[in-house]
Amino acid sequence: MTKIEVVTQIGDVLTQIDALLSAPDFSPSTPEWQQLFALRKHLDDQQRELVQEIIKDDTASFQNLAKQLSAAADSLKKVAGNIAKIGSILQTVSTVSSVVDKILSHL
Amino acid sequence: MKGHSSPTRARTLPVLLAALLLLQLQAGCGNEDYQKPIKQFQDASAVVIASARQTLLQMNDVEENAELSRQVFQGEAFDEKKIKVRDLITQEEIAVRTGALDQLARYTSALADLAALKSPADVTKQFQDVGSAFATLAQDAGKLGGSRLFDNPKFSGAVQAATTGIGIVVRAIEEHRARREIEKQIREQDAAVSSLIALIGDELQAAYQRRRQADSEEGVFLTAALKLELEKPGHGDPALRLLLGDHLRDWRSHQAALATANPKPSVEAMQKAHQALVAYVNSDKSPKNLSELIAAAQDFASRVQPLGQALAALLKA
Repeated sequence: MTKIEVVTQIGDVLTQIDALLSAPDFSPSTPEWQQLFALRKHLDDQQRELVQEIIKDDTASFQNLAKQLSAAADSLKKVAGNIAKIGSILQTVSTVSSVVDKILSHL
Repeated sequence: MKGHSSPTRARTLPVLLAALLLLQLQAGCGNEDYQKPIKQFQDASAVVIASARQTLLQMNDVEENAELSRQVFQGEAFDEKKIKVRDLITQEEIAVRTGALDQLARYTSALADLAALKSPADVTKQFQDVGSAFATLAQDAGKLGGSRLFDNPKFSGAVQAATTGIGIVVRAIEEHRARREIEKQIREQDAAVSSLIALIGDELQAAYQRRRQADSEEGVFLTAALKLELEKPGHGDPALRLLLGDHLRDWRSHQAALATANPKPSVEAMQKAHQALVAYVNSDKSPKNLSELIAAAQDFASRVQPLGQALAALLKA
């Protein structure tokens, strides 16, 4: 995976989060919505940082982290359509974010 | 909250529309000689260059508008400093990148004339002009400072490598070397040219992703604001609901165009068409080689058409 592919994958996760935040039965007045929105903002900042950073993406460690990111993004796909599973969703988005943190600290 | 306006909107839209019209007219032509793919390449390149310029020019607007919307939605005081700090790209960075795409298209046009079996002497000036323009671009790229968005040293290195490669081709033409020798140089130097096209494609992909994210976030702000209004007694203020509804309508109306506004697939098709032309220059110009060139140019034109339409729609939005 290249850096641009990782940026795109984060973008796909952000789009899924946005679909959840926009769902009619998910109120912005709830703490869960606020928590997911805060995670969304953090992930968006991370994506912007990643776009800006010069990263060596042909190393084994980068590829390993990219694989972890793909796995976390796949897990999100499984639960993202169900607001009732908001606990799992928040946990999975946190995992995505922590993998991206590792990619950024890998610079 | 909306508005990704650009100072070049008035200039870009007519270029896009003219190039799209030409692409559509050519799709209906029956004359499949070599001129057709070359013209397709040139017109499709014009759309890609316009889209690249538009995508890059909008980067700062997109980031600034996203920050402004966030401040408004989260009830923060308007803070211009926080907005301006989101700017990612300078005019110089945009100029060098779109200039590189422009010269790459001109280089391919010069190759096309050579492929049309024009004598190398007839195309000398064309190649010399492209060679000089690349030398200037390499100097400009070398002057770029640290970027907030792109890897400028990498870009500058790629422009330098392409400049060197094209310079070797230009020298071979100036020295009136045998056609075969010139064609060999074109083939050998093409890796650097292709790498530059690929790098520009990657950068445009990153820029497009940021736009997609900012737009998606805008949708969250609008729907959340409407939901909060609806939760108020009596479903809140009807005038405010209607205003939010208007913004949501605008936002929804450009979603389909935005989904097809990614310039990267078109840049990839441009790269393939360029490589097909280089292969054709080096071939025995048989009907089979020509049909491969026609297929690559047709693919390029087909991929660019929705991009051009999407950009025209977004410019009008």
